[in-house]
Amino acid sequence: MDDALLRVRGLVTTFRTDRGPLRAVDDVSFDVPPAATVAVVGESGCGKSVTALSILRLVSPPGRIESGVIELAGRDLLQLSERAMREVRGNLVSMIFQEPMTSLNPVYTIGWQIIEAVRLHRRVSRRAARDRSLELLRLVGLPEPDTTIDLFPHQLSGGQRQRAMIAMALACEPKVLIADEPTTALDVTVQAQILDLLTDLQARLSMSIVLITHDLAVVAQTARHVVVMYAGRVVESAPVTEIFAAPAHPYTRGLLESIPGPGPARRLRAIEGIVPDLRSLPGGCRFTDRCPMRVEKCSAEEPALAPVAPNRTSRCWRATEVSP
Amino acid sequence: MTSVSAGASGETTEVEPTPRGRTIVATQGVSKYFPLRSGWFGKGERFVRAVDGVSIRVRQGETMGLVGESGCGKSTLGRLVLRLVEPTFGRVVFDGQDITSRSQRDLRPLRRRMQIIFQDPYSSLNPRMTVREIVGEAIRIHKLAKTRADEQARIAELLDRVGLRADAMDRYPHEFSGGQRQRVGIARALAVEPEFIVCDEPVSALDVSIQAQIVNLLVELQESLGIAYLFVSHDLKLVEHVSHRVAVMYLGKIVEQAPAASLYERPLHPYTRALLSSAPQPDPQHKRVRLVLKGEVPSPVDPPPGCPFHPRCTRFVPGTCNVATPAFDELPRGSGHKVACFNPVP
Repeated sequence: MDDALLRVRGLVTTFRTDRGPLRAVDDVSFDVPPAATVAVVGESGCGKSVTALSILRLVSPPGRIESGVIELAGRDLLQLSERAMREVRGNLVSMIFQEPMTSLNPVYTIGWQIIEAVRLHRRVSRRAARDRSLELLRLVGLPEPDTTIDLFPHQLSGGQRQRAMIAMALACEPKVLIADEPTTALDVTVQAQILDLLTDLQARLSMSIVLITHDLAVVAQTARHVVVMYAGRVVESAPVTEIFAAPAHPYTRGLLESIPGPGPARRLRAIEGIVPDLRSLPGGCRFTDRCPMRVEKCSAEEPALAPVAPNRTSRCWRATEVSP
Repeated sequence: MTSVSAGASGETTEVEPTPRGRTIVATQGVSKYFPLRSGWFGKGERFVRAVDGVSIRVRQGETMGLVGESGCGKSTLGRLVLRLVEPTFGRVVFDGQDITSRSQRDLRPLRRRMQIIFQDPYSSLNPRMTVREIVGEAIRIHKLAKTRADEQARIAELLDRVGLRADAMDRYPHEFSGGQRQRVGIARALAVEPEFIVCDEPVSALDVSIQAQIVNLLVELQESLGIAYLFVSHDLKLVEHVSHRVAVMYLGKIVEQAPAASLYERPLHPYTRALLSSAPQPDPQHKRVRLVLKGEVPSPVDPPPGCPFHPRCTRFVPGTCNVATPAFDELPRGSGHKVACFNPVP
């Protein structure tokens, strides 16, 4: 992907703890092409959300970005001053979260907050900013924008709040939208509405989306490329159709198999065991203890993230045998 | 998808057709209205109709799935059948005995036979008690062990049964991961040898790979101990997977109920159909038929007249759906597939 809009290279983000530093994100690299959705998938604690926050340089102490490159439209964001970074946030990259209440201020109206977002980045009059806000509310499909603009967050339903937050994030038409579990707290029928909205907005604004999620079904429906994370590492990266058809890492395969399928089989295929503690990782591959395909080499030496096909990488000694 | 391919995998077992055992728990027109701030002298008092005239039955050894979106009343119904919430109207019958108006003291002998597993194993286990105390408490309350040695042996057996190591016994809930904590919750429920367990979103708080472990444990326990489950969940795929029969709730009412295979293959209620088509499929080739519902669930304070789903329904019949309440009919007769709709999906 030479035409990548966003390039993450060798990102390492650590957290200081009583028992020494914890590498939440450990040498993570991936590309996001223009106007495409890349999904970063994994279970709790795999580092996917910290990766998202690192892109926006929003990791706060005891967290710290240790090293790496985050290149957006040719500039390394990690080299920018805080002042220059503030220009980037909202203008070039925006973020939406799982729980809109955490990013909407409960004591201000929806309109006030969107107007502020607009005026923070653009020198426009209040009048013009209000018009722009109404336009945004219409864009995200909120009913009766003229009324909604003067409502407080608690007066909206969960789905409507999520729409309001999206409107705020899109205020300055960012090139990249980072969506951290945007539909996890929503019911399926509302989830479907929000996913449709994001797909629709992406096409209209030709915006890239980095979708952080644990839900593989959501990934299948929205992403072009998938990055699978496990214990701080990228373990597999591949185009969506290929990864679902033939995963090249045993962890990816385990995740796919643990989704309940249709039909009468009552047992699910579980991945045995639990995620390792990042402070006491096993030697070798981090998935070894839970891996049904492990061989001696796996606990001795960690495999590199290596190409297995064009545009595909896997961090497994037996990558070619995972989907025979 | 209907045929069961024998020997596809050694680990899979077929779901038997609905077990034909006796009814272990049933409700008859059970309702729960929660009062809102009351008006002057009780006049104009308004209620949240969380559960509104629901009749269900769960048979011995069966899993009855209960699905619906947040606020549909599914969790309240789960608590009503255990009398953890007092019904406003209707009856609750456990193993042939009407327990609707029994005092909590008289209920105690029956409590042993019905249990609940909660969604959040973080808040449903006392953080100040060790696993030994948590599991042992139930055994002691119901006097299920004669001696202290008996009790200890029973706790060890229960932990083994739910897949926890014996050294878990003297640890506190915070020392466990979410999945292990849920295993402790299951061990506590099993301690009294129940015949019926309400599983209220038992795996929603867990990671996908751990969900599968817990679901497998629940299925295995049912097969070996013959426990009946009321499996409450918002996860349609999961419910299809574990349930013999499934009921769909919307705004406090059951709108459709059927054997699992029948419900998922041929949903009759427009709401069920919309719900099923909204769920994303884990297949990038799958093109979703857009049946996205308009709007959101109305308030259960003043539910729409007639069929509660009519304002969002694609098969709305003016003059009927907004006027009369549809009966809950079996369609076709003898199929066990019931639906409350004037204009069911053909």
